[in-house]
Amino acid sequence: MGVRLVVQGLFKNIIKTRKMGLKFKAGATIFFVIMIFGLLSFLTPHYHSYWYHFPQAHPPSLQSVDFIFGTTSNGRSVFWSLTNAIVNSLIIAVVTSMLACHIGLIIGILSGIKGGVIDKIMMFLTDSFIAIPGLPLTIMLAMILKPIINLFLLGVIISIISWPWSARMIRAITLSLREKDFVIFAKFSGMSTWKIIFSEIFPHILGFHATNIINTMLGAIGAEVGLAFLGLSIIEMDTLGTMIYWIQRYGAILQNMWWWVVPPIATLILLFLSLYLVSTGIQEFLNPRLRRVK
Amino acid sequence: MLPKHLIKYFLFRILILLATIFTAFTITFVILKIMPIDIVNNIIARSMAVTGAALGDPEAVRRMYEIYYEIFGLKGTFIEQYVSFLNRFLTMDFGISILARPATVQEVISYRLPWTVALLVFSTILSWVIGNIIGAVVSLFEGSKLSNILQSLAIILYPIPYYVFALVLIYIFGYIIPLFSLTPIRLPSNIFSLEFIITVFRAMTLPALSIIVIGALGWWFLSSRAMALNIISEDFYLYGEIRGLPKLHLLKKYLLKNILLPQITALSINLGTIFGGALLTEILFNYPGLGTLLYQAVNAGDYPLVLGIVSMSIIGVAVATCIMDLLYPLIDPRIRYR
Amino acid sequence: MDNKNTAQLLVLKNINKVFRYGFFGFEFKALDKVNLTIEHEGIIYTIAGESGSGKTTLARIILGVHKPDEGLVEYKGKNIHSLKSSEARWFRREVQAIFQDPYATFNPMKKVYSYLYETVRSFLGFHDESEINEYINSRLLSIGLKLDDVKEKYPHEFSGGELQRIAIAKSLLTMPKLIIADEPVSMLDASFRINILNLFKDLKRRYNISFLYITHDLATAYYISDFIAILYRGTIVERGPTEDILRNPLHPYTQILLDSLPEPDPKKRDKYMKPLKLSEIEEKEFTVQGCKFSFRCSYSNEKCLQTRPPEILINNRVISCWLYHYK
Repeated sequence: MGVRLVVQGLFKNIIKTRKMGLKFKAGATIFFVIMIFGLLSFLTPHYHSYWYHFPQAHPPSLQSVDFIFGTTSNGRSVFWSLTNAIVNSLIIAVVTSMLACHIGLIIGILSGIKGGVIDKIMMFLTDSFIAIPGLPLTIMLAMILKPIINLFLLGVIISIISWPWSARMIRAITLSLREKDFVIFAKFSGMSTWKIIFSEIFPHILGFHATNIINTMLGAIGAEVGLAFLGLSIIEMDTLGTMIYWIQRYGAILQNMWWWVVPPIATLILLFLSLYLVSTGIQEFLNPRLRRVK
Repeated sequence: MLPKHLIKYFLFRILILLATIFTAFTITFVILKIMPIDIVNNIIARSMAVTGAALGDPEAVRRMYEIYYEIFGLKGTFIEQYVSFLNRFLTMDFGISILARPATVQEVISYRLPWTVALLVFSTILSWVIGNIIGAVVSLFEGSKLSNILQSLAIILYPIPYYVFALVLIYIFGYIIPLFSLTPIRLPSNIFSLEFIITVFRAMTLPALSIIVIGALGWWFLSSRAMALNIISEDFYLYGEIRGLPKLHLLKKYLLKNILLPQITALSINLGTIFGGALLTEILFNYPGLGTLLYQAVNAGDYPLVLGIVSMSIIGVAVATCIMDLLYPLIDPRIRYR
Repeated sequence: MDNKNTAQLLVLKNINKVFRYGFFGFEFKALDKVNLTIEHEGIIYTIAGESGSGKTTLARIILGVHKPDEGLVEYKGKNIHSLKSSEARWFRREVQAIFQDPYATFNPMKKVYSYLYETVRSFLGFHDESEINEYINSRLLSIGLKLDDVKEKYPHEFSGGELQRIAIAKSLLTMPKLIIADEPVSMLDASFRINILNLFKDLKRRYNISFLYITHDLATAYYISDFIAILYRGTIVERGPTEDILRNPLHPYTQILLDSLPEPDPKKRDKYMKPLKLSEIEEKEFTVQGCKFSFRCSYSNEKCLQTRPPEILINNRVISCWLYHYK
């Protein structure tokens, strides 16, 4: 009954109204604005990569684009750093979510459908990964890989701690779907296992998968900032994490260089908020019962 | 005396604990093994640069090499590598810390551990209790102004990691209202003096505050409120309300009773995340726990110490989760009855 | 394959199924030593029980979705939980399933025709499109539907009753010997209900199909079935010919169940005012050593609580109750 309502609701909504809640709209708008800001990074002037090109610790002024957000203690433009940081942080987030969520998806579905020994082995592995506290493990890996670190590799490192959660959730959903009447009915209509996975099970996982991708992005951005606190992100590149790393390094907070401190932290918080709103927006859209609750 | 099935469950859970720790270390071993990098030479070059003259003693250098070869599995057959690796991790015997030489890794960690445990236990329990109670209470006044404000606040706070929120707190309390010193603390030698307590309190307040605010008003508040609203929409609650039970009774017997059990499970699942967040928060406040130690170790290239902390975290979080699971049946009536 | 003709159609031997929650070890027995036999084709066998009695779990075990923890399910003498893949296809051709909510069984994104098409193509080995359509049409006509009315439509374009008929038509395509029908009419309007039930009777008569009809509704059970098994908390308390059991229930639970059937007679109103021992004891009922009904039964004694009653044969019915142990 419940499934039928959700499925029907989904179907009708997609066909007719495309009605999304306020949360989704607000989140998407904030995200869109941040993205536009990030896209400005393609206009970055070549001199942005040099240190001490600008006067040090210059407060914001409107004399040129470079000075809109002022400059840092090492003579770089906060504005260009921020635009580049947004793009780089999002690249890390996307690499992580694409890797982690899809590994989780494949392992979760296989585990849920196959059952038996395969399921037991995969879930034991997954549980063991969950049992390892993620941060110390990532720190160890990032420290060892420091000499060859890049955006993609950083995404891979963060994926290692992100996939088990996806796998567990997808498996739980698959297990509950496997016993649903419509799957049994499809089976007794002679559909092959693969056909059932694609046409009966996958559409029901899609909603969770979408929110999971967004939540994993959120987690990855946070994890990068965490690594950066320890100087383990890509220090020579602008990311939201490394911006905060340099702020810490130069004691910008205690010198009250607010123009340097506020932009990355505010962007981070807005980015977290927007991704979270989008993900709960999708969740509520898929499951209207939640609308009242959260 | 405990009933038979509980003893069976306890033994089984402890077996799971051992298996978890064992597999976690095995995974670490495999990951380190497939690293596309010559780890040992990197480390030795790094630590030679840092310690330089201090390790001039060739015997000490030789011992250091030996430990690294064992840790990163470069000595002997594959089985031997694996066994010596496990042995190092299980005993946390990583030799002398480069940063704090001549102290061993075990000594440095055991000195800092109580600080982290104190911060974690204090702030986790407090945020869990506060968040759940506020969530349940607010659900009774659904639709009121206060409820809406708290709800919006929670949505903003929920996705923010502790350590990013900590930056905001530093800005407020370190610069705008300079109540707390952010420089590394120096502990008075007499641990029973008033001065000692004040110093600990001052050191702990801000990191604890960032964990409690995010934890209580973000995480636990949201989930507790969601559960409470679900209960309120159920028939048995409506019946209680119609019977005219006082709100306090409804709150205690109907809401909290049904919220706290699943929230304990949620807490035990999230221990690892909370622990990681707390480590990073420590760094920002110069709190003398494992997190700050980890920061110093990473910066000094002190691999033995980093590995020691990794191993400590794996064992620590696994044991803590296990303890929570062992306590669970004592609380859950469904299991107690049988 | 020789014993195929002599073997009983469906045999359940001592089925146990336990569900566990987490590794806290909280478990309950969904099914406890269930025995049941459908002798041959052309029988409608009802399994009746209240919600939570395990009737849906039983259906799923027979369909091979769940594996029993103990016991066997044999279809024509073959254990259906250890079939080779070719035998599994044979099993799914001979045994078909109909579920409670037709809107939840058909994928809302797919035309219902795709189910009909897929069934014929994969089970009967037809390849030519017009041949398939002709076959589907002939089967649909036999239960009063036309392919043209069905072909281009999505599930939500049908009413519940129509969609359930199409589900039945789909299961008929493979010429099954046994249809498992899990609460097939409980979600339908009363007018459709009798319609579907008559269809079952008709199919049994015309094609000699057996039905395992799972329901909580004794009135419909009485209307169509030849045999009935009363399920309570995972155990069958009484089974035998429907006529005998519903006219003269022997097990105390069956008696209460029949008593609680409302009758449209104001003079009998008093009967429903009698307090029934209900609820609050469910937890224990799943774990009790003895008879699961002993907490509510007015005849129960210490023996009922301690030891499970054996299956006792009385005339042509089997009953699990200590009351009849010496008879």
